[in-house]
Amino acid sequence: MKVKEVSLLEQDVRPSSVDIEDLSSPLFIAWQINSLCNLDCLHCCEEAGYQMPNELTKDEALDLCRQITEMDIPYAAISGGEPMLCPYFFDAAKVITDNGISLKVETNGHFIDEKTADKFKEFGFRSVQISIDGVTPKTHEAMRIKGDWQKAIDAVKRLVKRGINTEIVFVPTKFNLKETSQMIDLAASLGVYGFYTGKIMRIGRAAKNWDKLAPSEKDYEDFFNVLQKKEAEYKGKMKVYYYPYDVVEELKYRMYNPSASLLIIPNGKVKLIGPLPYLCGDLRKHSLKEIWQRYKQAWKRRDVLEFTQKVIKDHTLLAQSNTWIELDI
Amino acid sequence: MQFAEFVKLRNEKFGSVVFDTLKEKVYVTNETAGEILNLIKQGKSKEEIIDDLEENYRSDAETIEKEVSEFLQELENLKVVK
Repeated sequence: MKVKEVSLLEQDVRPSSVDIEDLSSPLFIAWQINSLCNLDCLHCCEEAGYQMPNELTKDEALDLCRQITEMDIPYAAISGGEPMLCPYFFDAAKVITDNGISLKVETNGHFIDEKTADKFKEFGFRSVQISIDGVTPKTHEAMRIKGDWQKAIDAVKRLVKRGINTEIVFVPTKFNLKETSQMIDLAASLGVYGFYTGKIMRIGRAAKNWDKLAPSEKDYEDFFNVLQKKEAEYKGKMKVYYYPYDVVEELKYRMYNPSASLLIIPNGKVKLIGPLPYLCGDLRKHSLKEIWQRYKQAWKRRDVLEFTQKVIKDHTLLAQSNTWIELDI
Repeated sequence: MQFAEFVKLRNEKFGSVVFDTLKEKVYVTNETAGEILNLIKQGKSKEEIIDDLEENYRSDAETIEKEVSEFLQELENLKVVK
């Protein structure tokens, strides 16, 4: 009667031994609920900003939430764009949390005033993740165009004050890498539950701004040394989590060990994995249950595996990740 | 005995999946362990779990008690239950 520990999420540790063929449904749903965003971040993987044509309607979104419940999927994350700009964000979150599903919300924090923070507390989110990319407004706002560092910090304070599990996510770039140590100290001083980071992903707008953003290998070496040190320093006080692999290393692994998760984009299409352009389903045509089967089939296709190999050899192809290709399954 | 906050249980053909969604850790179990986890979900105590298993399995009481105790201890160490 031993339990066996394995990993699940793309951000989690290797090796994974959950075979998706054995699972009746996904274990995690990553849902980009909208594409509208008040910021214009240089490193945005989704190239968010404006509303995507044909985004799911409120009714369609709530139907998705019901399907997540019916499939007994234990964990979901809502991101965007900026999810707080989605007019039915709280309606969707309510269906998910009322049905006992753990829900993480990923936001820039700009719209979390006192009243909204109270509402977040009522909803019992698993966590709220706020993006902060520097210890000063200057650094943060150089990467997060139109961003407001103080608003993000104030949001963190409001959430922590209410006992909500709050996480800070930090994307290392040439702009902020030297602030990593101070950034972790800042997160700890704010009393957050966790500090999350990892190598910047070469997809979306980040791929377009790669030369401006990407740290060197030496920079990364220093970065991971700092993280190791800080992880030990804050052990038992704050979770310092970093994923050591870049997007290509992730692809090499996932092509043979697909994650037990689905990535839903604002128009209801379902991506195979963030760095690849492939779509394996469409909520307007398929049920979530059907999409789970299509996802499993898609990972066995020769064309998918061959293209993945090409991307692994030629990283510039990652820039095509948001030029979607619907798989005929 | 109960699951820690944000720990979710799902039954599968092979047994069960326990997902500590806060720590983002997944544990898979066989059918027997899955049965115990379902009893925990129902809010049963250690003694009630042992009684239930004694009724359903032909193993001697001592073996069942030992195995259940070890398993529950493992769950406690993982902070899956509280």
